[in-house]
Amino acid sequence: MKVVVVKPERCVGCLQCRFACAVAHSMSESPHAASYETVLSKPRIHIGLSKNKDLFPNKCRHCDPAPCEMSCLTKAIFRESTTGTVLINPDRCINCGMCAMACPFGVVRYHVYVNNKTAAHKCDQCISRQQKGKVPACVDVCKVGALLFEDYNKVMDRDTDEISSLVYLGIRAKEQEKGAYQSLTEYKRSLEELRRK
Amino acid sequence: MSEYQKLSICKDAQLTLKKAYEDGVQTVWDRFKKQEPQCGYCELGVSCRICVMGPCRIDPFGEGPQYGVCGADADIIVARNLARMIAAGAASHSDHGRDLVEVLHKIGEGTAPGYTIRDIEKLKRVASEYGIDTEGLGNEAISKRLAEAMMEDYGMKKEKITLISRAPKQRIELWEKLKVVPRGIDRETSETMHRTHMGVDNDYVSILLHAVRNSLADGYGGSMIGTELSDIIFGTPKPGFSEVNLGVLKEDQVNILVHGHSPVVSEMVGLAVEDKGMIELAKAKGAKGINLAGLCCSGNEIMMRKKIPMAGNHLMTELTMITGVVESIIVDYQCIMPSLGQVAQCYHTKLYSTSDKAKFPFMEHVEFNPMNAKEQAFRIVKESVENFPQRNKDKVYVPTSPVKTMTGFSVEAIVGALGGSLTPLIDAIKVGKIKGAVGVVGCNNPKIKQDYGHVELIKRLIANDILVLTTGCVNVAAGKAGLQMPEAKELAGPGLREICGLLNIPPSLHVGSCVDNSRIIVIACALANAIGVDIDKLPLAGAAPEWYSEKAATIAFYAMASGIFTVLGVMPPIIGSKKVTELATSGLKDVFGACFAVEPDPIKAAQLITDHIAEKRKNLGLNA
Amino acid sequence: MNAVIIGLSAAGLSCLGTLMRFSPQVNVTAISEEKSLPYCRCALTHYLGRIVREDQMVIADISSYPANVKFILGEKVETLNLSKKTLMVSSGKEVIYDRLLIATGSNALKPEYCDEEKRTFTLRYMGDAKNIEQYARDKVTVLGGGFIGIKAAYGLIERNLKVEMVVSSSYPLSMVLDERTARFVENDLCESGILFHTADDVAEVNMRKDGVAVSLKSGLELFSDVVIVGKGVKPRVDVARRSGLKIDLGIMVNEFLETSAEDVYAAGDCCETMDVARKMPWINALWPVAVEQGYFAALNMLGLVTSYPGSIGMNSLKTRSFHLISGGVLKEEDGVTTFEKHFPHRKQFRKLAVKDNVPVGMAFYNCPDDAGLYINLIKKGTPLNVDPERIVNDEVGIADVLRPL
Repeated sequence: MKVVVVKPERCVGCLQCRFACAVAHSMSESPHAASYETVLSKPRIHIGLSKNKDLFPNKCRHCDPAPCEMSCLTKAIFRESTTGTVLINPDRCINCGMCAMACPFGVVRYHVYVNNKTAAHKCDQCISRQQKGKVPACVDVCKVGALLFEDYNKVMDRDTDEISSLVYLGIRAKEQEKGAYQSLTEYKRSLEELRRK
Repeated sequence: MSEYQKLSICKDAQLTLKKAYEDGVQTVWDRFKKQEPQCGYCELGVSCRICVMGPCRIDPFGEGPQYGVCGADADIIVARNLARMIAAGAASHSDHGRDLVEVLHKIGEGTAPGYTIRDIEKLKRVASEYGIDTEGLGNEAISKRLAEAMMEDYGMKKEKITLISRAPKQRIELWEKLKVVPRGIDRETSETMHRTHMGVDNDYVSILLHAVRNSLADGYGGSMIGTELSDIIFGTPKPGFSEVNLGVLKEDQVNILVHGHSPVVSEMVGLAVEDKGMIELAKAKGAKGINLAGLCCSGNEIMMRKKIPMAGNHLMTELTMITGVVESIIVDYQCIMPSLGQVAQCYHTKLYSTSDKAKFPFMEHVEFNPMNAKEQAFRIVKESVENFPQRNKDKVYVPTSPVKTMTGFSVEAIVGALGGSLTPLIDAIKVGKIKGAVGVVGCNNPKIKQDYGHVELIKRLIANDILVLTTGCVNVAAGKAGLQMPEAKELAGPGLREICGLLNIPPSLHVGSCVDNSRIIVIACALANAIGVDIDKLPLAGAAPEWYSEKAATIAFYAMASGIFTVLGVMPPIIGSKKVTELATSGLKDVFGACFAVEPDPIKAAQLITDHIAEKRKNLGLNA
Repeated sequence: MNAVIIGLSAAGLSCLGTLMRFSPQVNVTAISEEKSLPYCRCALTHYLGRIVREDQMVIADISSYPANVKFILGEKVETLNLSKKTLMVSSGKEVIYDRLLIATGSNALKPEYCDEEKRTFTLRYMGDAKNIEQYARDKVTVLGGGFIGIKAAYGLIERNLKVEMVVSSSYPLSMVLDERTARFVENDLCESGILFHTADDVAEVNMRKDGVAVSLKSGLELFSDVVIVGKGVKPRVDVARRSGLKIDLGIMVNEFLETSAEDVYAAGDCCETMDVARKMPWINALWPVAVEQGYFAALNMLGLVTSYPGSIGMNSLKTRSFHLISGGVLKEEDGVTTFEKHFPHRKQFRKLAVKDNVPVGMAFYNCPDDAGLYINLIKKGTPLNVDPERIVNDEVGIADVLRPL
């Protein structure tokens, strides 16, 4: 089954995924009209910043079993059987906050997004887009391949290939060919360390 | 086939796109697809890269940052970005004008071989607008003095640029009240860059008013000077016929394309291709002759004056080489995609850059200046002719036959066609035979199906008895659709049809290149002055259905500032600021008498414009 | 295989759902003493607050289960015969099991003054909520400063009723929170209108002409339409005890949730499991804990031997003005160091209790975004790889905390 796979080491922090997520879940689904809607759509993917200024795209992993589903008092959180996506039914949600407590990854937020009531809010793996044959909005928009929509095993297979070639060629050789982005992250880290002194 | 029909309405584009795919050539449409979905922050105009405390972006959904590091909110960021776009557009047009001023000056000094004054009458007219007494002076003397006076327009010696006085009195008074009368062409661009530096102008209205001033320095400055001097040096266009589309390329001739904007290069190339010795050489190489054709504004300039055919507009430029019959493309500056070199690698086409301001990958740089232009032109044309045998016969594919089109409608030509004054046009408008006039201008953009926006809009406007004036890429679109031939009057409404039949003109008139949008301004000013009202009272409108460039933004601004309601087919990056958007789409009306509308659907855009024109007519007491 | 489940609340339903998911053909008999469809009793406070209706509280549709699942509703289990592997319900019917789950839950502790005559009720069943609803017009007294009491009080305040709370400790939620954190909560609740009487307790409850009078030990007398009592819960282990199962705090189970009798499992409020933070057997009588235990019990009942990792106490208290998430143990004792930081402008307070570099307790007040991270670290007993001082100072993010994992 396809899932959104996150490669945090590639994230450049452009926040395009947040923008696209908010637009995809807005009423108009248009970037131009979405920010004019009376109830603003909120993004369901959160980019965390580590103390070294490393970026971490954080979103619901649709766990199985899902701690949020287990903690939901009204069974507002349920698993959709065809895609395995863990969804929230905002009509049943009583805004009790148990799901945020239960989530080991801190991806649940509380917003007004349906029927003028505050309810639990998290990634729904763009299930309505998937039903139209599209990939999740965040994946669609990510230009650096930090978000992928694939069978997780295939991604792991590719990573295995990469690691095996690294082991074969020697990790030192890879270190020597540093890309522009690695230099940027190293620069940012040294800035941060300087700040701490 | 159908997938290419989604990208362009032009048969020549659809067919060559298919061949491009087969030849493995990447086009602008492929690259556009890869870029999609494009950055939302930038589309909304709320990303700022002006200083390195950033880069910053504002979250339009309210969760993330609402201020840049410097404290700028969305309104300031959008205004600064828009102002810089206008500065860039103004700078481009103004540089174009500057090059012509340089040529005029060198003509005055006798150091520009091959360049002469073709319209002495106009030289004297314009010189007297600049307060130069031409009595007893030879052409060289007048040229030198006029060039020097125009140089002053560019600098800070004057309180205001000279040609702004062409605008109606009421309009100038309005601009004076708003403090947007341009003082110097380069000065305004420079000041925009200053104002948009971090920590200078942080009031969005203030920034935008200066941007208006900057755009006026283009419309009544750089562009207008460019147009007038091109007419003076290369001849004021007269009506005549030419051809458009890829079919203008000839399988049995050496094909040379000129691309870019300045007639400085294209005129010299034109001389070279007509040279008898060169034609003999071509024949020796197996070609029947040398065929010169144009792309984009360079093409527009030589079509207006010399009736040289145009092979295509902005999105066609890569596709020309795919025909396999282009021996060389000679470029100067503006709107030349850096991808041309890559496409040329797949064919035998040689590419030449000619301006030191504009260098490109995989292009040979052959620098032109007014002193060596003729010599360089001859060299390039010779090399192009010698390239003819390198053609790969298997890759030759000229997909269509050329379409005839009418061109050459400078202001002088229009007045001439009307019998010597604008009165017949004014009468036709008063009576309602012609409801109004619209300038349909601008570029192509892969965001809109190529030429669809232009052609559909023009068809509907002329069907509503509205006279259309086209410049830039729109000319090629309208030409390919046959709308610029006198026969097209059959598609016009009854009133317009009658006038076109009487004067033997098409309902859509090719007025020139992008700097020639100043011709439309001249007509608007002339009409306003003749009737005695300000421009914003006239039944006029502007439309840029498929614009892409910053220059187009500047043109839209100076049109609006002149009182002309302008409809844009592509959304400018301003939506991220509600205040700027509100100002652009309605607030400006209270200030300048005109505002903008964004409408990508040409059918709806046509409705907006016809409604607008009907309202203007009503306010003037004319029938609807 | 015949599986039998006693009790259809959190643990029982969760076990049933898991059995159906992994082995849809297995025969199950589910027994519940309540006649009505299963509902979530934690939402009763929200029912009182008129946020949910009765029909919205139903969490299982009996009719949607396949034919191999049989329900016995409205009947209690009277006897349990471990050697014969049978049990008998109140109607006299005998049920045979191959695997049994005891999920009888717990009862609210009822002090002697709890009496319908005195309009004094605990809040455990729908019936209780309806009784309270019947009388609550203008003013309610809540006895007990635990989560149930506070959530009930808050629900009623939102309905614009007057509410007074009597708390025997000097601050509410003293069973779970330290004083500083609890004071934030108390302040917020006071601001929303709840009147607190702390360090005080009930002396007498008497019925007057048009209301209930609660006399406190301090001498104060509180007058209201109805009294709600939230003084804790007690596991229901009578049948289990009588049948011979080992009982301590609750029914004793091993790491596979199996009781002292083979093929008999227990889950939920009625059994005691390992508390990861306290490092001793405990009953964390909480809905999510019961659901999780029901899940693990089902896996083990099906022969998919899976060890249950243990639980911690945890709760989420969310109102219009604040959101508190707390878990584990927060008292500074026995080698536990606490770290805390208050951000008054953001109205945020973070507290972390750590022992030997392992987090054992947390309280996040108005910063729910990352709270779940730390709840789960405490639950797993994972050592911290970041300085806890930096955690409470909001200087680290999920990437730092989860980095080596």
